[in-house]
Amino acid sequence: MAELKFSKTHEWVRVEGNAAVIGITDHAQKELGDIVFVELPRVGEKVKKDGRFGTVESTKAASELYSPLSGETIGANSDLAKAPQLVNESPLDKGWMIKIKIADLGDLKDLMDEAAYNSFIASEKH
Amino acid sequence: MPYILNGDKDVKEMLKTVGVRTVDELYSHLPDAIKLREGVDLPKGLSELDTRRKVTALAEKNKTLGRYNSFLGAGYYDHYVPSAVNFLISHSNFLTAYTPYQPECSQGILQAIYEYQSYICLLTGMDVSNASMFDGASSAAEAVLMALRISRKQKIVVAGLLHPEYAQVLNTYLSGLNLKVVEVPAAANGAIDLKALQGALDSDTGVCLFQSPNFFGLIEDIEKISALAKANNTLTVMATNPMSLGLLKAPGTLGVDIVCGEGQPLGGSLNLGGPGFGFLAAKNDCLRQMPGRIVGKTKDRDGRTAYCLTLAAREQHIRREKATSNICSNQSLNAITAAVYLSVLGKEGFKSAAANSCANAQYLYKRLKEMRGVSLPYSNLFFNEFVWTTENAINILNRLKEKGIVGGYYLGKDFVNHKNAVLSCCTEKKSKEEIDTFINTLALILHG
Repeated sequence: MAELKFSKTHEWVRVEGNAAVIGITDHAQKELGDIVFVELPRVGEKVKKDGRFGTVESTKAASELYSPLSGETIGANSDLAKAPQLVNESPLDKGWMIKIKIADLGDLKDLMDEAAYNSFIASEKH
Repeated sequence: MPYILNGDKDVKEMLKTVGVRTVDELYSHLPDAIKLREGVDLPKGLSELDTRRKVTALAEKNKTLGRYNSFLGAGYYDHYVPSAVNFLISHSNFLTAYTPYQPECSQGILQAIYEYQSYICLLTGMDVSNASMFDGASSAAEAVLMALRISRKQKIVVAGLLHPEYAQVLNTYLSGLNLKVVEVPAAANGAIDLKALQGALDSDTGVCLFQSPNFFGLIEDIEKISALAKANNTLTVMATNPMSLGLLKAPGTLGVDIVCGEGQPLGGSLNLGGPGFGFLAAKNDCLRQMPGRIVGKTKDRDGRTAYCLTLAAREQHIRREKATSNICSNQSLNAITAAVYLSVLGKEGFKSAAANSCANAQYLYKRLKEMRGVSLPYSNLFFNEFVWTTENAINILNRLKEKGIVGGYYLGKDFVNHKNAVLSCCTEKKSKEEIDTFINTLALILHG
Protein backbone atom coordinates (compact mmCIF):
# COMPACT_ATOMS: atom_id res chain seq x y z
CA MET A 1 0.00 0.00 0.00
CA ALA A 2 1.27 3.47 -0.81
CA GLU A 3 2.52 5.48 2.13
CA LEU A 4 -0.20 7.26 4.09
CA LYS A 5 -0.12 10.86 5.21
CA PHE A 6 -2.05 12.15 8.23
CA SER A 7 -3.77 15.33 9.39
CA LYS A 8 -4.05 16.71 12.92
CA THR A 9 -7.82 16.11 12.71
CA HIS A 10 -7.25 12.38 12.26
CA GLU A 11 -7.86 11.94 8.56
CA TRP A 12 -5.45 9.90 6.39
CA VAL A 13 -4.53 10.50 2.76
CA ARG A 14 -3.28 7.96 0.19
CA VAL A 15 -1.93 9.62 -2.92
CA GLU A 16 -2.59 7.86 -6.22
CA GLY A 17 -1.07 9.95 -8.99
CA ASN A 18 -2.83 13.31 -8.89
CA ALA A 19 -5.72 11.87 -6.91
CA ALA A 20 -6.02 11.23 -3.17
CA VAL A 21 -8.12 8.74 -1.24
CA ILE A 22 -9.20 10.06 2.17
CA GLY A 23 -10.60 8.43 5.28
CA ILE A 24 -10.34 8.57 9.07
CA THR A 25 -7.69 6.85 11.14
CA ASP A 26 -7.95 3.83 13.40
CA HIS A 27 -7.46 6.17 16.37
CA ALA A 28 -10.43 8.27 15.21
CA GLN A 29 -12.78 5.34 14.74
CA LYS A 30 -11.89 4.03 18.19
CA GLU A 31 -12.65 7.39 19.78
CA LEU A 32 -15.96 7.69 17.96
CA GLY A 33 -17.33 4.29 18.85
CA ASP A 34 -19.83 2.40 16.66
CA ILE A 35 -20.37 4.45 13.54
CA VAL A 36 -23.94 4.53 12.33
CA PHE A 37 -23.90 7.05 9.51
CA VAL A 38 -21.46 8.85 7.24
CA GLU A 39 -22.48 11.94 5.27
CA LEU A 40 -20.26 12.46 2.24
CA PRO A 41 -20.10 15.02 -0.58
CA ARG A 42 -21.41 14.32 -4.06
CA VAL A 43 -19.12 13.74 -7.04
CA GLY A 44 -18.20 17.12 -8.44
CA GLU A 45 -18.33 18.96 -5.13
CA LYS A 46 -15.20 20.90 -4.30
CA VAL A 47 -13.39 20.43 -1.00
CA LYS A 48 -10.99 22.84 0.65
CA LYS A 49 -7.86 22.09 2.70
CA ASP A 50 -8.95 22.02 6.37
CA GLY A 51 -12.55 22.55 5.25
CA ARG A 52 -15.44 20.32 6.24
CA PHE A 53 -16.30 17.67 3.66
CA GLY A 54 -18.81 15.64 5.62
CA THR A 55 -19.94 14.24 8.92
CA VAL A 56 -19.50 10.95 10.70
CA GLU A 57 -22.14 9.96 13.25
CA SER A 58 -21.71 7.50 16.03
CA THR A 59 -24.34 6.60 18.61
CA LYS A 60 -23.09 9.31 20.93
CA ALA A 61 -21.74 12.08 18.74
CA ALA A 62 -21.60 13.63 15.30
CA SER A 63 -18.13 14.72 14.18
CA GLU A 64 -17.09 16.83 11.24
CA LEU A 65 -14.75 15.40 8.62
CA TYR A 66 -12.05 17.79 7.48
CA SER A 67 -10.23 17.48 4.18
CA PRO A 68 -6.43 17.46 4.46
CA LEU A 69 -6.19 18.71 0.86
CA SER A 70 -8.04 20.93 -1.58
CA GLY A 71 -9.60 19.44 -4.66
CA GLU A 72 -12.69 18.12 -6.42
CA THR A 73 -14.60 15.03 -5.31
CA ILE A 74 -14.32 12.31 -7.96
CA GLY A 75 -15.61 9.45 -5.84
CA ALA A 76 -17.38 8.66 -2.59
CA ASN A 77 -17.58 5.25 -0.92
CA SER A 78 -21.17 4.17 -1.52
CA ASP A 79 -20.67 1.00 0.60
CA LEU A 80 -20.78 3.20 3.70
CA ALA A 81 -24.48 3.95 3.20
CA LYS A 82 -25.47 0.35 3.92
CA ALA A 83 -22.44 -0.59 6.00
CA PRO A 84 -21.14 2.37 8.00
CA GLN A 85 -19.41 -0.08 10.34
CA LEU A 86 -16.75 -0.59 7.62
CA VAL A 87 -15.19 2.58 9.03
CA ASN A 88 -14.75 0.82 12.39
CA GLU A 89 -13.70 -2.53 10.91
CA SER A 90 -11.35 -1.34 8.19
CA PRO A 91 -10.70 2.41 8.54
CA LEU A 92 -7.70 2.52 6.24
CA ASP A 93 -8.99 0.20 3.54
CA LYS A 94 -12.66 -0.76 3.02
CA GLY A 95 -13.77 2.22 5.16
CA TRP A 96 -12.30 4.80 2.76
CA MET A 97 -14.54 7.84 2.39
CA ILE A 98 -13.79 10.04 -0.63
CA LYS A 99 -11.44 10.25 -3.57
CA ILE A 100 -10.46 13.69 -4.79
CA LYS A 101 -8.54 15.20 -7.68
CA ILE A 102 -5.78 17.10 -5.86
CA ALA A 103 -5.75 20.83 -6.58
CA ASP A 104 -2.27 21.52 -5.18
CA LEU A 105 0.20 18.68 -4.56
CA GLY A 106 2.25 21.16 -2.50
CA ASP A 107 -0.32 20.90 0.31
CA LEU A 108 0.97 17.38 1.06
CA LYS A 109 4.03 18.80 2.80
CA ASP A 110 1.77 20.08 5.64
CA LEU A 111 0.71 16.53 6.50
CA MET A 112 2.40 14.11 8.91
CA ASP A 113 3.89 10.73 8.09
CA GLU A 114 2.90 7.67 10.13
CA ALA A 115 5.61 8.04 12.75
CA ALA A 116 4.86 11.72 13.30
CA TYR A 117 1.12 10.97 13.54
CA ASN A 118 1.69 8.23 16.11
CA SER A 119 3.75 10.64 18.23
CA PHE A 120 1.04 13.22 17.79
CA ILE A 121 -1.75 11.00 19.11
CA ALA A 122 0.47 9.77 21.93
CA SER A 123 1.04 13.37 23.01
CA GLU A 124 -2.68 14.19 22.71
CA LYS A 125 -3.54 11.70 25.42
CA HIS A 126 -3.62 13.18 28.91
CA MET B 1 -49.03 14.40 41.54
CA PRO B 2 -50.85 17.03 43.65
CA TYR B 3 -49.19 20.34 44.45
CA ILE B 4 -49.27 21.04 48.20
CA LEU B 5 -47.78 24.13 49.84
CA ASN B 6 -45.03 23.73 52.40
CA GLY B 7 -46.25 24.06 55.99
CA ASP B 8 -44.39 26.12 58.61
CA LYS B 9 -42.86 22.98 60.07
CA ASP B 10 -41.51 21.92 56.65
CA VAL B 11 -40.07 25.40 56.03
CA LYS B 12 -38.32 25.46 59.43
CA GLU B 13 -36.78 22.05 58.79
CA MET B 14 -35.56 23.01 55.31
CA LEU B 15 -34.06 26.29 56.55
CA LYS B 16 -32.25 24.42 59.32
CA THR B 17 -30.83 21.88 56.84
CA VAL B 18 -29.68 24.60 54.45
CA GLY B 19 -28.17 26.57 57.34
CA VAL B 20 -30.10 29.86 57.26
CA ARG B 21 -32.54 31.32 59.77
CA THR B 22 -35.10 32.95 57.47
CA VAL B 23 -36.24 32.61 53.86
CA ASP B 24 -35.15 36.25 53.30
CA GLU B 25 -31.57 35.18 54.00
CA LEU B 26 -31.69 33.07 50.83
CA TYR B 27 -32.02 36.34 48.86
CA SER B 28 -29.22 38.16 50.70
CA HIS B 29 -27.00 38.09 47.59
CA LEU B 30 -29.51 40.19 45.60
CA PRO B 31 -29.30 44.02 45.52
CA ASP B 32 -31.75 45.75 47.89
CA ALA B 33 -33.02 47.91 45.04
CA ILE B 34 -34.76 44.97 43.36
CA LYS B 35 -36.18 43.35 46.47
CA LEU B 36 -39.85 43.60 47.31
CA ARG B 37 -40.33 46.08 50.19
CA GLU B 38 -44.06 46.05 50.94
CA GLY B 39 -46.47 43.21 50.28
CA VAL B 40 -48.07 42.70 46.88
CA ASP B 41 -51.18 44.80 46.32
CA LEU B 42 -53.86 42.14 45.88
CA PRO B 43 -57.54 42.34 46.83
CA LYS B 44 -58.82 40.29 49.75
CA GLY B 45 -59.30 36.59 48.97
CA LEU B 46 -62.77 35.46 47.92
CA SER B 47 -64.65 32.42 49.15
CA GLU B 48 -64.90 29.47 46.82
CA LEU B 49 -68.54 30.37 46.04
CA ASP B 50 -67.73 34.02 45.26
CA THR B 51 -64.71 32.98 43.20
CA ARG B 52 -66.87 30.61 41.21
CA ARG B 53 -69.42 33.39 40.59
CA LYS B 54 -66.75 35.87 39.51
CA VAL B 55 -64.96 33.50 37.16
CA THR B 56 -68.22 32.29 35.64
CA ALA B 57 -69.21 35.89 34.92
CA LEU B 58 -65.90 36.44 33.16
CA ALA B 59 -66.25 33.23 31.15
CA GLU B 60 -69.76 34.23 30.07
CA LYS B 61 -68.21 37.13 28.16
CA ASN B 62 -66.89 34.59 25.63
CA LYS B 63 -69.24 33.29 23.03
CA THR B 64 -68.33 29.64 22.63
CA LEU B 65 -68.73 27.92 19.30
CA GLY B 66 -71.19 25.42 20.75
CA ARG B 67 -73.75 28.25 20.98
CA TYR B 68 -73.59 28.88 17.25
CA ASN B 69 -74.46 26.98 14.11
CA SER B 70 -70.96 27.30 12.71
CA PHE B 71 -69.61 26.71 9.22
CA LEU B 72 -66.12 27.87 10.09
CA GLY B 73 -63.12 25.88 8.81
CA ALA B 74 -60.02 27.34 7.18
CA GLY B 75 -57.47 25.13 8.92
CA TYR B 76 -59.15 24.23 12.21
CA TYR B 77 -62.15 21.89 12.12
CA ASP B 78 -64.99 21.06 14.49
CA HIS B 79 -65.15 17.26 14.38
CA TYR B 80 -66.82 15.11 16.98
CA VAL B 81 -64.48 13.83 19.66
CA PRO B 82 -65.87 10.71 21.39
CA SER B 83 -65.87 10.88 25.21
CA ALA B 84 -63.53 7.92 25.37
CA VAL B 85 -60.76 10.04 23.86
CA ASN B 86 -60.75 12.73 26.55
CA PHE B 87 -61.18 10.14 29.25
CA LEU B 88 -58.12 8.20 28.10
CA ILE B 89 -55.83 11.17 27.56
CA SER B 90 -56.85 12.63 30.94
CA HIS B 91 -54.87 9.84 32.55
CA SER B 92 -52.32 11.79 34.59
CA ASN B 93 -49.46 9.80 33.06
CA PHE B 94 -50.35 11.33 29.70
CA LEU B 95 -51.79 14.63 30.86
CA THR B 96 -49.09 15.84 33.21
CA ALA B 97 -45.91 14.40 31.73
CA TYR B 98 -43.39 16.97 30.54
CA THR B 99 -40.87 15.96 27.87
CA PRO B 100 -41.31 12.28 28.76
CA TYR B 101 -38.46 10.87 26.71
CA GLN B 102 -36.32 8.99 29.19
CA PRO B 103 -36.71 5.32 28.26
CA GLU B 104 -36.04 4.08 31.79
CA CYS B 105 -39.28 5.61 33.06
CA SER B 106 -41.40 6.50 30.02
CA GLN B 107 -41.98 3.26 28.13
CA GLY B 108 -45.76 3.79 28.11
CA ILE B 109 -45.64 7.26 26.57
CA LEU B 110 -42.84 6.34 24.17
CA GLN B 111 -44.91 3.43 22.93
CA ALA B 112 -47.93 5.73 22.55
CA ILE B 113 -45.86 8.18 20.52
CA TYR B 114 -44.50 5.30 18.41
CA GLU B 115 -48.07 4.28 17.67
CA TYR B 116 -48.93 7.88 16.78
CA GLN B 117 -46.02 7.86 14.33
CA SER B 118 -47.27 4.59 12.87
CA TYR B 119 -50.77 6.01 12.37
CA ILE B 120 -49.37 9.05 10.57
CA CYS B 121 -47.38 6.77 8.24
CA LEU B 122 -50.53 4.76 7.52
CA LEU B 123 -52.59 7.86 6.73
CA THR B 124 -49.95 9.60 4.62
CA GLY B 125 -48.51 6.55 2.86
CA MET B 126 -45.04 7.44 4.09
CA ASP B 127 -42.23 5.38 5.63
CA VAL B 128 -41.33 7.56 8.59
CA SER B 129 -42.95 10.16 10.83
CA ASN B 130 -41.55 12.23 13.65
CA ALA B 131 -43.08 12.50 17.13
CA SER B 132 -44.96 15.67 16.12
CA MET B 133 -44.16 19.37 15.93
CA PHE B 134 -45.85 22.44 17.33
CA ASP B 135 -48.38 23.21 14.62
CA GLY B 136 -49.17 22.86 10.94
CA ALA B 137 -47.55 26.11 9.87
CA SER B 138 -44.20 25.42 11.51
CA SER B 139 -44.23 21.81 10.29
CA ALA B 140 -44.58 23.14 6.74
CA ALA B 141 -41.71 25.58 7.21
CA GLU B 142 -39.52 22.85 8.71
CA ALA B 143 -40.47 20.49 5.88
CA VAL B 144 -39.32 23.07 3.33
CA LEU B 145 -35.98 23.52 5.11
CA MET B 146 -35.66 19.74 5.33
CA ALA B 147 -36.20 19.40 1.59
CA LEU B 148 -33.62 22.07 0.89
CA ARG B 149 -31.04 20.26 3.01
CA ILE B 150 -31.70 17.03 1.13
CA SER B 151 -31.60 18.63 -2.31
CA ARG B 152 -28.70 20.96 -1.40
CA LYS B 153 -30.35 23.64 -3.55
CA GLN B 154 -31.39 27.21 -2.78
CA LYS B 155 -34.73 27.85 -4.45
CA ILE B 156 -38.25 27.27 -3.15
CA VAL B 157 -41.42 27.25 -5.24
CA VAL B 158 -44.68 27.84 -3.36
CA ALA B 159 -47.53 26.76 -5.60
CA GLY B 160 -51.18 27.62 -5.35
CA LEU B 161 -53.43 28.57 -2.48
CA LEU B 162 -51.45 27.94 0.68
CA HIS B 163 -52.98 28.84 4.05
CA PRO B 164 -51.91 32.50 4.50
CA GLU B 165 -50.65 31.81 8.00
CA TYR B 166 -48.43 29.01 6.68
CA ALA B 167 -46.99 31.48 4.18
CA GLN B 168 -46.35 34.01 6.96
CA VAL B 169 -44.64 31.46 9.19
CA LEU B 170 -42.54 30.18 6.29
CA ASN B 171 -41.45 33.76 5.68
CA THR B 172 -40.39 34.07 9.31
CA TYR B 173 -38.36 30.87 9.15
CA LEU B 174 -36.64 32.03 5.96
CA SER B 175 -35.78 35.54 7.13
CA GLY B 176 -32.04 36.00 7.32
CA LEU B 177 -31.44 33.02 5.04
CA ASN B 178 -30.24 33.61 1.52
CA LEU B 179 -33.01 31.62 -0.15
CA LYS B 180 -35.22 32.48 -3.08
CA VAL B 181 -39.00 31.94 -2.98
CA VAL B 182 -40.99 31.89 -6.20
CA GLU B 183 -44.79 31.93 -5.98
CA VAL B 184 -46.83 30.16 -8.59
CA PRO B 185 -50.37 31.51 -8.37
CA ALA B 186 -53.55 29.51 -8.73
CA ALA B 187 -55.27 29.41 -12.10
CA ALA B 188 -58.71 30.92 -12.59
CA ASN B 189 -60.30 27.63 -11.51
CA GLY B 190 -58.62 27.84 -8.09
CA ALA B 191 -56.18 25.00 -8.69
CA ILE B 192 -52.41 25.27 -9.23
CA ASP B 193 -51.59 26.49 -12.73
CA LEU B 194 -49.60 23.43 -13.88
CA LYS B 195 -48.10 25.19 -16.91
CA ALA B 196 -46.92 28.06 -14.72
CA LEU B 197 -45.54 25.55 -12.21
CA GLN B 198 -43.55 23.78 -14.91
CA GLY B 199 -42.20 27.13 -16.02
CA ALA B 200 -41.16 28.07 -12.49
CA LEU B 201 -39.23 24.85 -11.83
CA ASP B 202 -35.57 25.10 -12.78
CA SER B 203 -32.28 23.36 -11.97
CA ASP B 204 -31.94 25.38 -8.79
CA THR B 205 -35.36 24.52 -7.37
CA GLY B 206 -34.91 22.31 -4.35
CA VAL B 207 -38.50 22.09 -3.20
CA CYS B 208 -42.06 22.75 -4.24
CA LEU B 209 -44.51 23.44 -1.39
CA PHE B 210 -48.23 23.17 -2.01
CA GLN B 211 -51.40 22.45 -0.06
CA SER B 212 -54.15 19.98 -0.91
CA PRO B 213 -57.01 20.39 -0.24
CA ASN B 214 -55.86 23.97 -0.78
CA PHE B 215 -56.91 26.99 1.26
CA PHE B 216 -60.05 27.41 -0.85
CA GLY B 217 -60.92 23.76 -0.12
CA LEU B 218 -60.11 22.48 -3.61
CA ILE B 219 -58.31 19.19 -4.21
CA GLU B 220 -55.18 19.61 -6.33
CA ASP B 221 -53.87 17.23 -9.01
CA ILE B 222 -51.24 15.77 -6.70
CA GLU B 223 -49.98 13.13 -9.12
CA LYS B 224 -49.30 15.67 -11.88
CA ILE B 225 -47.63 18.10 -9.48
CA SER B 226 -45.36 15.37 -8.11
CA ALA B 227 -44.49 14.19 -11.61
CA LEU B 228 -43.55 17.70 -12.74
CA ALA B 229 -41.40 18.18 -9.67
CA LYS B 230 -39.71 14.78 -10.00
CA ALA B 231 -38.91 15.41 -13.65
CA ASN B 232 -37.11 18.53 -12.48
CA ASN B 233 -35.29 16.81 -9.56
CA THR B 234 -37.34 18.88 -7.14
CA LEU B 235 -38.74 17.52 -3.90
CA THR B 236 -42.42 18.00 -3.06
CA VAL B 237 -43.80 19.06 0.31
CA MET B 238 -47.56 18.75 0.60
CA ALA B 239 -49.48 20.34 3.46
CA THR B 240 -52.79 18.64 4.07
CA ASN B 241 -55.76 18.23 6.40
CA PRO B 242 -55.23 14.77 7.94
CA MET B 243 -58.98 14.21 8.10
CA SER B 244 -59.08 14.37 4.30
CA LEU B 245 -56.81 11.32 4.24
CA GLY B 246 -59.75 9.28 5.51
CA LEU B 247 -61.27 9.75 2.09
CA LEU B 248 -58.52 10.74 -0.33
CA LYS B 249 -55.54 8.74 -1.56
CA ALA B 250 -52.44 8.78 0.61
CA PRO B 251 -50.01 11.36 -0.78
CA GLY B 252 -47.11 8.90 -0.42
CA THR B 253 -48.74 6.74 -3.07
CA LEU B 254 -49.00 9.70 -5.42
CA GLY B 255 -45.31 10.59 -5.50
CA VAL B 256 -45.13 13.21 -2.76
CA ASP B 257 -41.81 13.26 -0.86
CA ILE B 258 -42.79 14.95 2.43
CA VAL B 259 -46.26 15.42 3.96
CA CYS B 260 -47.08 17.82 6.77
CA GLY B 261 -50.02 19.70 8.24
CA GLU B 262 -52.10 20.59 11.26
CA GLY B 263 -53.15 17.61 13.36
CA GLN B 264 -55.95 19.34 15.31
CA PRO B 265 -58.75 17.63 13.33
CA LEU B 266 -57.60 14.30 14.78
CA GLY B 267 -59.35 14.35 18.14
CA GLY B 268 -58.43 17.91 19.05
CA SER B 269 -61.03 20.44 20.16
CA LEU B 270 -61.04 23.99 18.80
CA ASN B 271 -59.91 25.50 22.15
CA LEU B 272 -59.58 29.14 21.02
CA GLY B 273 -57.26 28.03 18.20
CA GLY B 274 -54.79 25.80 20.00
CA PRO B 275 -52.81 23.96 21.09
CA GLY B 276 -52.75 21.56 18.17
CA PHE B 277 -49.77 19.82 16.65
CA GLY B 278 -47.92 19.56 13.39
CA PHE B 279 -47.27 16.24 11.74
CA LEU B 280 -44.37 15.51 9.41
CA ALA B 281 -43.80 12.33 7.48
CA ALA B 282 -41.48 11.37 4.64
CA LYS B 283 -39.96 8.57 2.63
CA ASN B 284 -37.15 6.55 4.18
CA ASP B 285 -34.34 8.21 2.28
CA CYS B 286 -35.29 11.57 3.83
CA LEU B 287 -35.05 10.21 7.38
CA ARG B 288 -31.63 11.60 8.27
CA GLN B 289 -32.70 15.17 7.50
CA MET B 290 -35.97 14.99 9.41
CA PRO B 291 -36.37 17.49 12.26
CA GLY B 292 -37.99 16.75 15.59
CA ARG B 293 -38.04 13.89 18.02
CA ILE B 294 -38.37 10.39 16.62
CA VAL B 295 -39.31 7.37 18.72
CA GLY B 296 -37.88 4.04 17.66
CA LYS B 297 -38.63 0.46 18.59
CA THR B 298 -35.73 -1.66 19.77
CA LYS B 299 -34.77 -4.37 22.28
CA ASP B 300 -33.43 -3.86 25.77
CA ARG B 301 -30.44 -5.83 27.06
CA ASP B 302 -32.75 -8.70 28.10
CA GLY B 303 -34.15 -8.95 24.59
CA ARG B 304 -37.53 -7.42 25.45
CA THR B 305 -39.24 -4.92 23.15
CA ALA B 306 -38.46 -1.36 24.25
CA TYR B 307 -39.01 2.15 22.90
CA CYS B 308 -36.61 5.08 22.93
CA LEU B 309 -35.77 8.27 21.09
CA THR B 310 -33.60 7.53 18.11
CA LEU B 311 -31.39 9.20 15.50
CA ALA B 312 -30.51 11.80 18.11
CA ALA B 313 -27.43 12.87 16.17
CA ARG B 314 -29.78 15.00 13.98
CA GLU B 315 -30.71 17.13 16.93
CA GLN B 316 -29.26 20.31 18.35
CA HIS B 317 -28.04 18.91 21.67
CA ILE B 318 -25.55 16.92 19.61
CA ARG B 319 -25.18 18.78 16.31
CA ARG B 320 -25.61 22.33 17.64
CA GLU B 321 -25.96 24.78 14.75
CA LYS B 322 -25.68 21.95 12.20
CA ALA B 323 -28.77 20.22 13.58
CA THR B 324 -31.80 19.63 11.37
CA SER B 325 -33.76 22.02 13.59
CA ASN B 326 -33.75 23.59 17.05
CA ILE B 327 -36.96 21.81 17.98
CA CYS B 328 -36.23 19.57 20.95
CA SER B 329 -39.70 18.67 22.07
CA ASN B 330 -43.04 17.61 20.64
CA GLN B 331 -46.75 18.03 21.30
CA SER B 332 -46.95 14.69 23.10
CA LEU B 333 -50.41 15.05 24.55
CA ASN B 334 -51.99 16.29 21.31
CA ALA B 335 -50.20 13.67 19.23
CA ILE B 336 -51.23 10.89 21.61
CA THR B 337 -54.77 12.29 21.49
CA ALA B 338 -54.67 11.81 17.72
CA ALA B 339 -53.55 8.21 18.12
CA VAL B 340 -56.29 7.54 20.69
CA TYR B 341 -58.89 9.24 18.45
CA LEU B 342 -57.92 7.11 15.46
CA SER B 343 -57.94 3.92 17.52
CA VAL B 344 -61.36 4.74 19.01
CA LEU B 345 -62.86 5.54 15.60
CA GLY B 346 -61.07 2.69 13.87
CA LYS B 347 -60.51 2.55 10.14
CA GLU B 348 -64.22 2.44 9.27
CA GLY B 349 -65.18 5.14 11.76
CA PHE B 350 -62.48 7.45 10.46
CA LYS B 351 -63.45 6.86 6.83
CA SER B 352 -67.05 7.50 7.84
CA ALA B 353 -66.28 10.80 9.59
CA ALA B 354 -64.33 12.00 6.56
CA ALA B 355 -67.00 10.84 4.11
CA ASN B 356 -69.80 12.48 6.08
CA SER B 357 -67.85 15.75 6.31
CA CYS B 358 -67.55 15.70 2.54
CA ALA B 359 -71.18 14.70 1.98
CA ASN B 360 -72.46 17.48 4.23
CA ALA B 361 -70.30 20.02 2.42
CA GLN B 362 -71.64 18.73 -0.90
CA TYR B 363 -75.21 19.22 0.36
CA LEU B 364 -74.46 22.80 1.47
CA TYR B 365 -72.86 23.45 -1.92
CA LYS B 366 -75.93 22.10 -3.71
CA ARG B 367 -78.32 24.28 -1.69
CA LEU B 368 -76.18 27.41 -2.13
CA LYS B 369 -76.04 26.75 -5.87
CA GLU B 370 -79.82 27.16 -5.95
CA MET B 371 -79.72 30.42 -4.02
CA ARG B 372 -80.37 33.64 -5.89
CA GLY B 373 -77.71 36.23 -5.01
CA VAL B 374 -75.02 33.66 -4.29
CA SER B 375 -72.30 32.56 -6.72
CA LEU B 376 -70.03 29.56 -6.56
CA PRO B 377 -66.86 30.54 -8.42
CA TYR B 378 -65.11 27.14 -8.39
CA SER B 379 -66.34 23.82 -9.68
CA ASN B 380 -63.38 21.51 -8.96
CA LEU B 381 -63.72 18.76 -6.36
CA PHE B 382 -63.48 19.80 -2.74
CA PHE B 383 -63.25 17.89 0.54
CA ASN B 384 -65.09 19.66 3.37
CA GLU B 385 -65.12 23.35 2.46
CA PHE B 386 -65.63 25.62 -0.53
CA VAL B 387 -65.93 29.26 -1.57
CA TRP B 388 -69.14 31.18 -2.25
CA THR B 389 -69.58 34.83 -2.99
CA THR B 390 -72.32 37.36 -2.42
CA GLU B 391 -72.59 41.14 -2.57
CA ASN B 392 -71.46 42.81 0.62
CA ALA B 393 -70.34 39.52 2.12
CA ILE B 394 -69.18 41.07 5.43
CA ASN B 395 -72.58 42.56 6.02
CA ILE B 396 -74.28 39.24 5.24
CA LEU B 397 -71.96 37.40 7.63
CA ASN B 398 -72.73 39.87 10.41
CA ARG B 399 -76.45 39.48 9.92
CA LEU B 400 -76.07 35.69 9.96
CA LYS B 401 -74.17 35.96 13.24
CA GLU B 402 -77.02 37.98 14.76
CA LYS B 403 -79.19 34.97 14.01
CA GLY B 404 -76.75 32.60 15.71
CA ILE B 405 -75.00 31.41 12.55
CA VAL B 406 -71.28 31.71 11.83
CA GLY B 407 -71.45 31.58 8.06
CA GLY B 408 -67.79 30.93 7.37
CA TYR B 409 -64.35 32.45 7.03
CA TYR B 410 -64.27 35.84 5.34
CA LEU B 411 -61.66 35.58 2.58
CA GLY B 412 -61.47 39.33 2.00
CA LYS B 413 -59.31 39.43 5.13
CA ASP B 414 -56.40 37.77 3.31
CA PHE B 415 -57.18 38.11 -0.39
CA VAL B 416 -57.68 41.56 -1.92
CA ASN B 417 -59.41 40.14 -4.98
CA HIS B 418 -61.95 38.22 -2.93
CA LYS B 419 -63.69 40.98 -1.03
CA ASN B 420 -67.05 39.22 -1.34
CA ALA B 421 -65.95 35.66 -0.79
CA VAL B 422 -66.63 33.33 2.12
CA LEU B 423 -65.09 29.93 2.83
CA SER B 424 -67.71 27.64 4.39
CA CYS B 425 -67.06 24.25 5.91
CA CYS B 426 -69.11 21.27 7.04
CA THR B 427 -67.94 18.46 9.25
CA GLU B 428 -69.70 15.20 10.09
CA LYS B 429 -71.14 17.07 13.11
CA LYS B 430 -73.44 19.16 10.92
CA SER B 431 -77.01 17.91 10.69
CA LYS B 432 -79.26 18.42 7.68
CA GLU B 433 -81.43 20.66 9.87
CA GLU B 434 -78.50 22.91 10.73
CA ILE B 435 -77.55 23.24 7.08
CA ASP B 436 -81.19 23.93 6.11
CA THR B 437 -81.41 26.56 8.87
CA PHE B 438 -78.33 28.27 7.43
CA ILE B 439 -79.82 28.21 3.94
CA ASN B 440 -83.23 29.45 5.04
CA THR B 441 -81.77 32.23 7.18
CA LEU B 442 -79.48 33.31 4.34
CA ALA B 443 -82.42 33.33 1.95
CA LEU B 444 -84.39 35.56 4.31
CA ILE B 445 -81.44 37.97 4.66
CA LEU B 446 -80.82 38.13 0.93
CA HIS B 447 -84.40 38.23 -0.31
CA GLY B 448 -86.28 39.64 2.70
